[in-house]
Amino acid sequence: MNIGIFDQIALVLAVCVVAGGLAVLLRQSLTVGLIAAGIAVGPALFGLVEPTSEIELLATVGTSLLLFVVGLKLDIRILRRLGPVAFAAGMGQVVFTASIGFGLARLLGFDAVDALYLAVGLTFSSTIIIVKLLTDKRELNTLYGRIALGILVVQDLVVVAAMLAITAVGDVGTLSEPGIIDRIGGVLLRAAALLGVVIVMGRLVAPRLTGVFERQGELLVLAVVTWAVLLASLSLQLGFSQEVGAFLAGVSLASTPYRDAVASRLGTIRDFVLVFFFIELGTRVDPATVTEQLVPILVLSLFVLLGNPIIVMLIMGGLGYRRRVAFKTGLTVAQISEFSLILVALGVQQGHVGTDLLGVVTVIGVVTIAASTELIHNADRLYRRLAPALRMFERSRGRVLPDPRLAVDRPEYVVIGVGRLGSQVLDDLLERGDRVLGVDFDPRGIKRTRWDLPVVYGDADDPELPDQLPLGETRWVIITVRDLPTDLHLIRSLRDGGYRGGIAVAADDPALCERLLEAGADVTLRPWHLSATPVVEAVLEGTLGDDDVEAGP
Amino acid sequence: MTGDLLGQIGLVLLVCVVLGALAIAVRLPLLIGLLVAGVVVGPDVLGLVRSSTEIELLGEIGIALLLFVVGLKLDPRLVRKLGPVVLVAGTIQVAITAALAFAITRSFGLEVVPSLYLAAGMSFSSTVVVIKLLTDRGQIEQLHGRLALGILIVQDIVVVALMVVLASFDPDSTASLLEQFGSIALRGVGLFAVIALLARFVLPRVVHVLARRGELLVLSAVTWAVALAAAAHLLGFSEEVGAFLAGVALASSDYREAISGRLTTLRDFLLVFFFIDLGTQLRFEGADDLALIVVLSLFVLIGKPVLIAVISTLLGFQAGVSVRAGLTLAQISEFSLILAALGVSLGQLDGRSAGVVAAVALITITLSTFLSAQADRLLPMLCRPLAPLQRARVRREMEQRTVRRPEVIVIGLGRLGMTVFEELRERGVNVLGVDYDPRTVQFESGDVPVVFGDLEDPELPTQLPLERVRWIVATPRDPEVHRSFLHALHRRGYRGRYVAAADHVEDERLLQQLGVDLVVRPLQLAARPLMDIIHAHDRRAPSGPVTLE
Repeated sequence: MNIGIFDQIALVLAVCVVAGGLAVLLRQSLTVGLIAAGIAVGPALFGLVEPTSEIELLATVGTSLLLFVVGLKLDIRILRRLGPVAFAAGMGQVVFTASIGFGLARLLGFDAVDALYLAVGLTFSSTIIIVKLLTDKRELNTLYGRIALGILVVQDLVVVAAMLAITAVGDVGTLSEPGIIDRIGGVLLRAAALLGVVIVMGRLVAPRLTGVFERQGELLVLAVVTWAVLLASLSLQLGFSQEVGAFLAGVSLASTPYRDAVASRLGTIRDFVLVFFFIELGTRVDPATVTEQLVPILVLSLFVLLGNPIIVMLIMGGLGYRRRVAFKTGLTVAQISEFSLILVALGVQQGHVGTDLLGVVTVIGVVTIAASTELIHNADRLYRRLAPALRMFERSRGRVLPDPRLAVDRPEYVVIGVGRLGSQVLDDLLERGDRVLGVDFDPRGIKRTRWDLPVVYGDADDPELPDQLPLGETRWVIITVRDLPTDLHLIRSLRDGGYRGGIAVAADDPALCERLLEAGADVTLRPWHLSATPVVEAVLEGTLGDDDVEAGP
Repeated sequence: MTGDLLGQIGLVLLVCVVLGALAIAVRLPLLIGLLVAGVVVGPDVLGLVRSSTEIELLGEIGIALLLFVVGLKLDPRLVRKLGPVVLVAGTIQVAITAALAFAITRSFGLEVVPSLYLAAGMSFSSTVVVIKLLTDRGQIEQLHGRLALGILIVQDIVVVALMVVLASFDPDSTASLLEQFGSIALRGVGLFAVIALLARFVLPRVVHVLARRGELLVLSAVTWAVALAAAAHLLGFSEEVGAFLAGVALASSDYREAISGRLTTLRDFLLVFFFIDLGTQLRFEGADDLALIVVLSLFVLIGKPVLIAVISTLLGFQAGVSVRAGLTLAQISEFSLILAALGVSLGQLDGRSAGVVAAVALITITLSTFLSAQADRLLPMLCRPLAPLQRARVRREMEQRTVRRPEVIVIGLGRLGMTVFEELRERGVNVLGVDYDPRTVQFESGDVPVVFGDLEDPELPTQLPLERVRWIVATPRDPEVHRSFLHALHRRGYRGRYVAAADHVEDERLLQQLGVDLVVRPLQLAARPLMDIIHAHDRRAPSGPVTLE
């Protein structure tokens, strides 16, 4: 059937919309729908799409563009802020997964080089997908979100190094050939050149150009994309891959003021391009490969889906994090990365491995991406089910002991949930000189910005929490968690445990306030309503009475 | 992708960026820079690019998106509200301009078909340029601005109709002219009817489901456009027409703004490829063309405004208004270029004639910008000859139009924003809400004034009706976002009050330094009453349950 390219695209898009719509109606994530669409239109099922140059163009440009946007969002300063956790978890996971993965692959019958590629490929998690999922769920700024991002940054850096290394090995040839030093030198020089351009642009050139691009939005986008394309091309010329170039181009701009303006404008293009990325992924699923290599594919996919999260949870548990945070972070590494595919493709290009390995990795990619997206989508529900079983990952803490340095062993006021509202309350109380204690599941994060606040570990979901708190002289417990089941739970266990002081709870909905009061809270407050009032009054005063408030341009 | 192609594209884009920046530096629209860049990188000058299918495809998608967005903004209710006067003015203007241009080109010896293309091309004015001109000077709500926009809408409709006819018209076919017209009409009506039915019954429900996810909405919109483009192609029309009709079908949907807002960047980006592709097909040869170019340019720069001014005055507008409107419209359009590109692809227009159109576009767009800047100075001189034509009772208003003139705008309808918004509405204040989540917008639409907009979008101030606004309340917490938004507001000339929300004391100080009139720290405000209650009672809880709100 000789349909024109426009018609082909129309058909593919239509399938995507239908699949996407179904996914949304069934309350699943959009990603899964798109992947399903990709498989449907590819040679595996309906065979609607052959890899023509145009669709492939859109897909390869797409990956580079996606990596550019990812690079744009990865501020290296995140690493500094998160410190050891991200590094430990990221590197730890890479090391463990690679080693165990290598062993598994050898057991399954792959030869050494193939097994090495597999092992390395399986360790990386997909930055593109995780950043997108976290942004959609608006959980990018939560504790687990930031740790996950840190892990991803560490891994991406490892990937870039790995890709440079693979190319280097290719260029350098075998050790016995003469002139080895020269060739190694050549590769290092070229890598240095590439990184040099990136740094110069990021630190010196880009910040100076702010004035030029300030006024015109479209020009800014155009300029930024031009930079990405040029760097990708340079990277290609220097013998590295274009994806690395695009990614580095994004990183070079990540600390400039353009970042937000560009990222928000590129958002739509990125989403659009992501569609083609998933389609392309789906179309590369070769049914023959699936049947031949079914066992290895299943085993390795399960390894990624279960093994990676477990490794991360172990590491984070060891570092003292609570199971909820560890669990949610663990879920974010339960898939392989677009870089895994690119890495293996590079290996094929260099002649280290065959194309059938690429097929295997592609299928593993599809399976793990789809499955992990579903898992993340339903993370909260899953956690509630699995919470008891996850205790094994936590270091047992016994009683919650306040930090002896803070000498708060008999607080008058306890604030559970030291978020923005909680820390404000603690502040106000401290100002009056009261003895206070804050309880939160991320005391370290809080201490980074507010070292002076007395905060200890405590998981609001833990039914033992009230027993562990020194409530003997507490007059008020203030709960700012803002999750109805948790709040009700806490109120109940506080009262059951014999606490007779006051309980104040924050909630937004008047109906929720009612329920909380019925359950035993003494005071509820609606923070947003309280904050809106001064604004409304100022505006009313200004609008109705004030005639010299000028209007308009 | 081969390294060559990538590098090529990179260099081409670089030229576009440089020339684009130059254009902006001399206060010309970006469009000019891109057009020049297209010519420069083409085979005649730098030879960086030969015509390639990939670039052409991207350009085609860009045009389809452009027409989709044009259709999207063509609210049929708006057209009805503009009233017959403007429609008449527009139609007459197009007809006479085209006729005169046709005469000119024929006298220079061009064949009939190319002359038709050029004649049509001369009669359109550029929506992009005009809107930019009017917005920059804050004149978009004034009478002459609305008159100009009304005429432009008429032109849009004519353009599309023309594209339909031209694409389907086959000069070599054996069927008679009448038969061909009949066939076109039949197919056209059929397509239109199907789309109208879908738009009325099927689309609203489907869109409602798809709007739950922002990107699914955009994806669906693009799919709809591409699908209709393909369908149009199947029926023998051009793809652009299908895209346009797809847009019109969604023009009365509540999600219209959400869709068009998100597609702008993609569209502008893809249009770059259109200009590059066009540039590769232009040919400039010799002095003959130069004379034609000069004459046509003068015709557009002088003749067109005169024509518009005369027609408008005769239809009852004040001379000054008519002249201003005319001066604003003294250029040709990107649509003239698109039409020319269509002609080339159909084999009905040669590269030289397309080159003429491009040259006239360049000259007239550039000069009309300067011309309309001098409007005030030229006005008295130009109005005098028109005075005798002016009617005794002059129109001072166009037909009734419900215009949103809010006094307060609330940006960001999260928990804080929504609370403020609702309270103000309850007290009878004329308030407009702005949010970027399509679901918020839909939920509140209909009677409740909420529009789509993103605080981080640097173009937001130009999209908001700021004329009567005294207060802007912006609820996002990031002081940097407020900084850039305030900057953009001041550039627009906003002098009303600004309220920002913040979390920390340091942010509050920063915002106060920026000149924010009122900073609200929601958390502090929320915590205060709690503190009062807590300290009012010693060990005992209050006598009964209390809610602080």
